[in-house]
Amino acid sequence: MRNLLFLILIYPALLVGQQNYTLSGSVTDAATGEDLIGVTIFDLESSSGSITNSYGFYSLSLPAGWYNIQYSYMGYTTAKHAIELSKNQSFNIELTPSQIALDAVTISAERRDKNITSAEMGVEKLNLRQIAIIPVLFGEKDVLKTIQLLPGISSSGEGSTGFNVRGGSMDQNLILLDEAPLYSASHLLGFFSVFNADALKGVTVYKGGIPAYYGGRASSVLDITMNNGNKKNFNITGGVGLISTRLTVEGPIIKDKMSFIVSGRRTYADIVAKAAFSDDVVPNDLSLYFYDLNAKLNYSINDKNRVFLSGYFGSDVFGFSDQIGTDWGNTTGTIRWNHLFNKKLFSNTSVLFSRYNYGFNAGQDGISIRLTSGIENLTVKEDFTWFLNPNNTIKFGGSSTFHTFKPGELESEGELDFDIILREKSAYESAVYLQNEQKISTRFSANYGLRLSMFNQVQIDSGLIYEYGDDNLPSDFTFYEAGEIIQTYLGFEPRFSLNYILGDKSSLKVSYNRMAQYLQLLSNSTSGNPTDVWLPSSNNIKPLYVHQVAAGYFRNFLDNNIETSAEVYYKRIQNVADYEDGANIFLNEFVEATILNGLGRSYGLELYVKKNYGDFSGWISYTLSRTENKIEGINDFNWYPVKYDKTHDISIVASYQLFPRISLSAVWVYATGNAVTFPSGKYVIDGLQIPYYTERNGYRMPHYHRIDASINIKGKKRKRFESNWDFSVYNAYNRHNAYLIDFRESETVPGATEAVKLSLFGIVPSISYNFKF
Amino acid sequence: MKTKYILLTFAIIFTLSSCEEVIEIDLNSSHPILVVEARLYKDSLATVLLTKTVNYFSLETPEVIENATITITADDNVSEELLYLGSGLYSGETMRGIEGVHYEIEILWEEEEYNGSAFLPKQTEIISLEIVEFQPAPQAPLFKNAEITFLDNPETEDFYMIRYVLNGLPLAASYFAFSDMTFSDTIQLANPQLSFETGDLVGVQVFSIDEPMSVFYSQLSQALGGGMAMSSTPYNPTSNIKGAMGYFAAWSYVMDTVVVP
Repeated sequence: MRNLLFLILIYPALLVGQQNYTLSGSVTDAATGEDLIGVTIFDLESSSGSITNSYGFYSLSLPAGWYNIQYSYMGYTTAKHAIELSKNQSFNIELTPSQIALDAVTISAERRDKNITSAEMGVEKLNLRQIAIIPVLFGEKDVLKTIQLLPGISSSGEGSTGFNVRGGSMDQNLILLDEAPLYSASHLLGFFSVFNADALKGVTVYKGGIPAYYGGRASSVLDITMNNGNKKNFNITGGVGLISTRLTVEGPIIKDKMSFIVSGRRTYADIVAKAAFSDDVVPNDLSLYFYDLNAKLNYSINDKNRVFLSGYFGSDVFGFSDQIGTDWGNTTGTIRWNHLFNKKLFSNTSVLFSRYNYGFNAGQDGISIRLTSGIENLTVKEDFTWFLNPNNTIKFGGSSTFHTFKPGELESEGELDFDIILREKSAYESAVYLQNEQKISTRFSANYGLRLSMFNQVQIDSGLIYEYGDDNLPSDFTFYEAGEIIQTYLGFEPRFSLNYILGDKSSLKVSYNRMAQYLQLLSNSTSGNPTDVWLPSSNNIKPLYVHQVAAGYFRNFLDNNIETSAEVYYKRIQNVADYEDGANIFLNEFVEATILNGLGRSYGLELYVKKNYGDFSGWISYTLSRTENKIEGINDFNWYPVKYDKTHDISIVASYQLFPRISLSAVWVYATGNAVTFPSGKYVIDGLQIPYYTERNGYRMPHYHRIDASINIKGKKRKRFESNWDFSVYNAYNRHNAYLIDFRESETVPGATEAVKLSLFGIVPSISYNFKF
Repeated sequence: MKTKYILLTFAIIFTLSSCEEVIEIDLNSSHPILVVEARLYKDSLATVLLTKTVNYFSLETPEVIENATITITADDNVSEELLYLGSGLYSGETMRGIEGVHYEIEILWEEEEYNGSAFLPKQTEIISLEIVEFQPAPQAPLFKNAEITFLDNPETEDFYMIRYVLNGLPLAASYFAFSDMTFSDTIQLANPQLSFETGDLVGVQVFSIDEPMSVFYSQLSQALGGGMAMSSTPYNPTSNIKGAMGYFAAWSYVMDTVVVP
């Protein structure tokens, strides 16, 4: 009886002991007030944990009791917070940047074995300070050039910021800037990316194991977030380099509540050329420049609501007054609202706008022509994160995008009287998703989810929609009213990745994703041009569907200072597109008729060794891969390598902190040449020698390799003013890597033919001066 | 002044960093393929030149074919077997090109049969040929182009090829092929890439051709470097003779000349 009474008395206490409470809040930078993404929050004893989301918010549910919670993040001093959890609590914390980590690129851990314990695979989160130390062309720090040094990611060509991920073409990469998609991520014919590193907070690349949250592209996601703006102090950051100058201004409007950031960059190749050469060599009315402008405003209304407004404006301009010129550029706009329903349920509502347009004009004596093309879209999306418990974080939501495609317009004025206007196209692309990050046991964790997508080709103005015959001309047509749906495609996209921890230092991971892609880029080159045109799936062009499986072994050494991994992957692509021989893709109303669909496959091995900490750091990455297509009507229906297929791709990155204020860096890259179509013979027609081609992409460009090096010297820090000089050299041993190889009749030997290699860059030194106050 | 030298140095570094050089490259040797240049002009006898493809870097002239049998048949079933004249050249003796007629060609060589067809369109009429001045860009020199105007039927889709003759000799690779894209009854054009000097005798030939020939010569122009930017990958121009390179052309043409002032 006494025992029964005891049980009755302590039963409520037992119930209290079982009750879970939620600790939630935000983690920010103590110096700037910026949200910190991916901060690890965990209980030291139970190892239950959480991480901050894209807005710095975290939520961790634990049974009532006393806890020692640790907050740790790369480059910041780890903080600990003792707490008695007896009710739901909010706890916001500011982490202090670690001075040691700032001076050396060695990084103190968020969680030093995250690559072992996380279920994520095929993901790289870049440290912006790592980007800053890597020497690149003209000294311009470049996000896209840096990710091309990672395994599985390769450059599309010399001077190009187009990139290929695990055998995917350039248009299979979803590039997001504050959630808005960017359709062209390069300036100056691919020499620079559109990303001004001064304005960026984080860069994450997904090569595989892509969560259900993302969709719309078949191969990868490059998710880039902008800084919000310093909420505590005004800062000015800038730099002057050989080819461009940049300036960033940020600061609080209402301290700790509202802040802004404006960041701009402009090149001045035309100013340099005009100053260096006389008027008859370089005309005074020459324009040759590009610019980027990033702007953002963020406002914390209260503890539960925040709004963000951000935009990007960038353009390239080349021309001579109004006689002849070309311009192209991106515009994005993002409005977002974060709302906290309760300690466990976080939502983000976004309205996104994105536009890419290209223009060319020429004119004289009252006659002018103007060629334009572009793509535009408006997206509404809603995303929820439900921190169910320490072992389950559920995300769900949906989005809808309205696309408008302008394939091309050629308009004339004056004596010329012709216009060619390719019909605009439009489409809706929608999706819903559900995913869970689950810690199944101490050894097993998983990310899994499902994305359902739908694509509707919609008639803009009433008119005819064609189908095509073998002669590439319309063979049938149907009349559609404005707003009528012409074609619908559906995508069933399961995703999962599993992690099994073998021991303290190693794990095995596998992943699978199915991706649907409803847009594709018409491109006539390997590296991309401003004239490339985005086209939607239609009654004639089927969507791309990709299955990708991957497996990997991850092992750390020397207390997680050395990370190693070996991953293999295999991709199968349905409806891969290529163009029939002789396809005219310029201002062709019937261009859909020239597209052939077939199968593609890509497989490879990625090896990675990375040293994270110490005066000497860096990594080595090696990729062995093959990517090929099989399309009826091309290459006699045999498998053939795609243009960007590279058998071997090696990157070695090294950084050494020589003295507290002097660091050295070097990068060596090597890659098999791209697959190309060269002539296997020649013949004579009308007295002219004509090259004769056999297999498509049956040859290789010469191997590509170069070394870049830089030295960074920091100035003495005076109060708030910091500065550094960066001296770098691109292609230090002056190798003339082939940009293209042309075959032509010899200029010196009559009747002979020759191969001529064009190289873009030999050795290119550069200097830049950077400051911050 | 010092600033200007510094800027000049960097500008030179950038300019000289890129370069062009002739290189050795190992190309496969393909099996020789039949190459056909077959012409049947209005009111003229048919002529056919047969050669083979050679290795790309070969300095030898293409080998001619001397043992082929070539037959041309009109759509009224009148046929003619061509006579071999030597040096790979075959010629007709009786059949002459007639506007509005379809022709078939059959080539038998080394137990293989090659077939093609062509349509001989109606001849156009030149209205005028004159020299016009054009400046392609500021600071560029003044170009003197030949501007031709000729008749076109707005109710039919017609195909033309323009070729230039300078001082009595055809200009190599000066042709361009196109279809009539407007609904006007005349076509006027000039080639902005061809400039002439005072005193030159410039001739312009306007060929009326069929669509396969328009496609062939457009693609040939690209293969010679004139417009690869419009296509996605190098390719062989589409021949209207199955299994062979080259063409079977049934054309009418007119020509006018002008002296450049």
